Amino acid sequence: MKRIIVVAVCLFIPISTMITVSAGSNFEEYNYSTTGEAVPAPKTYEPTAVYYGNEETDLKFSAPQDIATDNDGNLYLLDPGNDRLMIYDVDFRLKSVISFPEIGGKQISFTGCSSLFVTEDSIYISDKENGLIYVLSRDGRGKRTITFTPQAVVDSDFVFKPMHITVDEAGIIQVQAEGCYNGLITLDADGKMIGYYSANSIQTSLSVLASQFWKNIFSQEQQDSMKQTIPVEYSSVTMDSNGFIYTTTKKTENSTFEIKKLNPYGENILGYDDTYSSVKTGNGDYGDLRTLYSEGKNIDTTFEDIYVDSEDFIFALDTARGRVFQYDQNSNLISVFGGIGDQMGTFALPGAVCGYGERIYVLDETKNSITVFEPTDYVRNIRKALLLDSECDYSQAVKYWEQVYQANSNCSLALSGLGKAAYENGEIAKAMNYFRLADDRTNYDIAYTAYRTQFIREHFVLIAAVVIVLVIAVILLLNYAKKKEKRDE
Amino acid sequence: MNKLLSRPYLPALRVIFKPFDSFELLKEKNYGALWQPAVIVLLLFLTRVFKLVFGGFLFNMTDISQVNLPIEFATVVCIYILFVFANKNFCDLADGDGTMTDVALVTAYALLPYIICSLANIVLSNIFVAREQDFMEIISTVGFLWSALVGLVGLKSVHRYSFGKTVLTVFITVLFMALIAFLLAILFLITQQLIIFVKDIYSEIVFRM
Repeated sequence: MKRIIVVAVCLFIPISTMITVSAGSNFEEYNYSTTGEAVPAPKTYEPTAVYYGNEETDLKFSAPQDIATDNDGNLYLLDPGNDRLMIYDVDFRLKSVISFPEIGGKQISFTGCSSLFVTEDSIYISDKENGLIYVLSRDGRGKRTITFTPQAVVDSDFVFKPMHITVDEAGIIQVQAEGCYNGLITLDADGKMIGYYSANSIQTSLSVLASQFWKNIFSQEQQDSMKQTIPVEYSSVTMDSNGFIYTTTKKTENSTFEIKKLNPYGENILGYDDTYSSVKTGNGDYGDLRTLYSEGKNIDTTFEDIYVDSEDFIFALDTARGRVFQYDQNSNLISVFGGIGDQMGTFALPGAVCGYGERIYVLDETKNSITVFEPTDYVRNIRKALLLDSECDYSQAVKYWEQVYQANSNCSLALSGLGKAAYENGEIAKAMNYFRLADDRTNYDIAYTAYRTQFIREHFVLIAAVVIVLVIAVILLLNYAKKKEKRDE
Repeated sequence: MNKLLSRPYLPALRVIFKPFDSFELLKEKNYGALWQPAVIVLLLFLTRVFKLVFGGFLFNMTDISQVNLPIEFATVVCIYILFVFANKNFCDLADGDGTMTDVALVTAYALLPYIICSLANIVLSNIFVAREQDFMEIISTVGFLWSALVGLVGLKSVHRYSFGKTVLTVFITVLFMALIAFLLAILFLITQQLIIFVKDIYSEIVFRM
């Protein structure tokens, strides 16, 4: 009998632990080590719910294109397959369904619409097929239609196909249009074009250099038939709470600067560390660090959408592998979650990412679903600590970093944060050790400079004595060598 | 053979400070023991290892888990042997007087300034902070130029060339090294193919029998 119980217990234990493990998420999370290797990381975001939209309306989503949230947490879903716009409240109860709103006595259809943007009082919807932008009030009544009026700089054969839009407080619209490699198109509130804004620059690579070389040799006709070297177009645009514009690019030539934060001059102001260029995150290389070459295709991270939350953390969506990458304002990779698959928390064709508070919504265009992700304590601690670090409040941040460190002793962000706190406390040797473990050479240099100054001050007499003895020894040695040479001759 | 082994020892430090006199001794009076180049090449290998292990954290970018010591050792020794072999054989064609022993000794002595400056840099890399890196670059440049000078003077003396001709032959020697490496690679590949071919025939016969 006893033996049977033991066997039963033995059988039961692995099964029960398996269930608790698999009950979490259906994807494996990772982050990059200091040497650029992908290593397993603790869970950061957990899928808590998946919505298909048929609970209230008996109608599933059909090829939904975009989601957006407003300041009250209402979720707006653009569902062109059913020709409707759905508004949910913060607890995902259906508030209203808008279809065929009237603008100027004319019913509009959402069939060709690709994206929406919600401001304080209006909903902006871009219609890719008809090249229009519709403005609705927040309760779904039609306000006006914005038609595109091009400037002289625009090519005559350019067709305006707005994809993603942002609207600032003054009503200025930034449009990411399909096939527009000159950057974003800036429109005023009436749709009159103001100009282009911040194109991607052409990144130098071997193929670009080669085509540049051949251009010097070829005749004009040959040059015309060559592939043109043009900047890559943006894939998405969004705006943070301070009004800064963020863009994503699907892929760039060198796989760097796919995510950009633009200032009013159109320059990238997202912080990154370019002092030590090695294969690691935080030096302007976004998404997965390594590409996979499979079946004749190079599979790289393909950024499709971007969302910046109220605390300025950046979430970028990769359609190729269905992952969401979270970055802070210094391009440090905080978490990677999601994946391609059929289970909860994985996607078939993720199309848009959005969020409210600390919740993250991911829209799947093929599964016709919205997945809700909630952060774990682990990533909450990292975010709190990073925010405190950015305010230089290292001693407050240290208690969060310690919890992160206990969960994941490989987290270089935590090691670096602990180092900063130790340095502020005056424990320089301890700080140096942390920075060394975190491979944070910039901060190690600062700590080491302080350490060396302190060391020289404390042991000045000894160091001076050693230097003097060495100098005397060298002089004596040289004299001896000279004398010996004379004797030899 | 006995003559080779009984060569007297030539102080290596004297060579790098007074290359002209020392290389005359080497050429005319057969100074320079054969164990000396072996020790110096071993020192070069050790310097490279020390740089990886004891180099200061701020200046040491190499991921130590990616380092393979046997390959490092083979690289150092192979490049040394390849240079000596290529230089001796090319200079034989270009009226050079140096023997294989001469070239091997000269090349080894010429490595010494580089080794000394690298060792100094390893010590300094543990003392300096990032903004003082320029000093280390100056030291390594000095070491490199000094090595080049000693090497050129040495090759000039043992081959009895003019200075310009020495520079030219060294340049061609490097091309020769590339050529030899290329030929060796081809030889390796062809041998591999041959082995596979013989193996195939063998297994074919075994299956048919």
